[in-house]
Amino acid sequence: MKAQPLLRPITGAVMVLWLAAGLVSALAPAALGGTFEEGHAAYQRTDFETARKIWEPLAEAGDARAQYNLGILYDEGRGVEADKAKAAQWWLKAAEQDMPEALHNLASSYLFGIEEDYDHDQAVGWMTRAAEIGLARSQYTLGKMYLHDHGVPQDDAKARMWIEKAALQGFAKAQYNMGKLSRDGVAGEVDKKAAARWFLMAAKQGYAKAQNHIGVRYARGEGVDKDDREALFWVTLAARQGHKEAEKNRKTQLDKLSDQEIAEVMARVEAWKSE
Amino acid sequence: MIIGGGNGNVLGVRLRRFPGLIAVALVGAVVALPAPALGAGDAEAEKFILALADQALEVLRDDTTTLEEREARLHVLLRNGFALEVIGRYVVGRHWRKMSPVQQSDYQNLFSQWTLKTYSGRLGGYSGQTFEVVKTVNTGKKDIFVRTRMHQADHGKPIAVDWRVRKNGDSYVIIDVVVEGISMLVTQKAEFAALLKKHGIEGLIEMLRARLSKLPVVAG
Repeated sequence: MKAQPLLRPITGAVMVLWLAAGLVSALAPAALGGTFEEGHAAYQRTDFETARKIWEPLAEAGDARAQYNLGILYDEGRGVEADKAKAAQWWLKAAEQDMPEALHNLASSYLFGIEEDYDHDQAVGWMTRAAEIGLARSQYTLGKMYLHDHGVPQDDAKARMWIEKAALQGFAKAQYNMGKLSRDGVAGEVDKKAAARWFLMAAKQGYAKAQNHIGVRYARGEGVDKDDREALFWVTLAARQGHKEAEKNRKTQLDKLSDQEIAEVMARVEAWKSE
Repeated sequence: MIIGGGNGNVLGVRLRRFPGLIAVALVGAVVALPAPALGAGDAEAEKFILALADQALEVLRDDTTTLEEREARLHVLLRNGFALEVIGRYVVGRHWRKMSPVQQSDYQNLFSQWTLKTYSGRLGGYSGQTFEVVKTVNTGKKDIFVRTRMHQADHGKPIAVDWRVRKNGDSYVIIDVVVEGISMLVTQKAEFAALLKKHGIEGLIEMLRARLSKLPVVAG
């Protein structure tokens, strides 16, 4: 081992590409005039400081989008020291203007986040408002809160209602959960065919858990016609995303098929794209 | 020598800034010169850090895609570069054995996503800092430390960043990032210990779920 440090200063021309953003932020005054879109352009080139300086006066003037985006900068500590309380303050301002994304993030903060303290009443209130406006992610989250007794008393019927609304809007996790609710007969009849349909919808969007579930259903012929090639196809896609159980299921499926069949399935796997 | 503005506080030695440092280091490392006269394992470990940096830079340079897309691509890179399962298990300590198999799987999945989101989300402020590989230290045990040094844009005191790297089959994985002697692993473990004490395993899982559920910036 060499005792002397090997100092290697950077001289690569590639770094020059990254200078522009840095210089812009170095020269930026405390507050910049500029449109919301200019702030977003700065954000896109990872010049978060400039984005903040453009959005701040707009947010002060009542622009909900700027208020919401500022909240993200503070929440994630982009270009500024992370400050969950400040993030929530900005989201609250935008939420009071009924901006769905702000309602959702504010609710999520109360659910678990501002200095690690819960405030479930606030979480449920803001999440319900976002769900009523029609934000699929909020409908799904609210449904899960009702399902798991999280901040609200457990209510399977309400859980299913909200999760189904999100699923019908195409939210993959909600579709997957509708698959489980249909399979288990939660707040409705056990319906294996419906379960398989929901799992397949989420699987087609690339959701690994759903891909494994629909794969298993094809292997067993549960809610769908038994098809070992379809089973291999879906568990392979799930396994490729690192799903452990799917890796095991894949090995089982490989034993059931000929080399020719496996090759055909793998060609489909390679060509597959999520919807 | 590269001089730029950057975001001064990104390199402030604050624990919550670590992910920023990781981004800085990955970007900077790519142009460091090859290592002379190191042991075979040491040189390989250093090469691993350099290769990861090279790929990270390629993703970051692509200004034809949105920041969200670039960060998603960086997720894939970091997922392969960091030993996320090892880290995830370590930071919950003895609670790991108390988790049901479903909890373990949910936790690992959420912890990975959250860690990747945090790391790749801290790309701002990397410009303007310079980075150099100081040396690579083989502890003789299973891990190798690639010692690097970050120079701040305002010519403040350089910051020491060590990458704890472990051999994994034919490749290497990052186990820990140590900034000015403060380990990311140890810091994360302390944060989680407090949380687990207060809210239990389900509380930790719900916290990760809630943090991941948040929506990104809007374009207009």
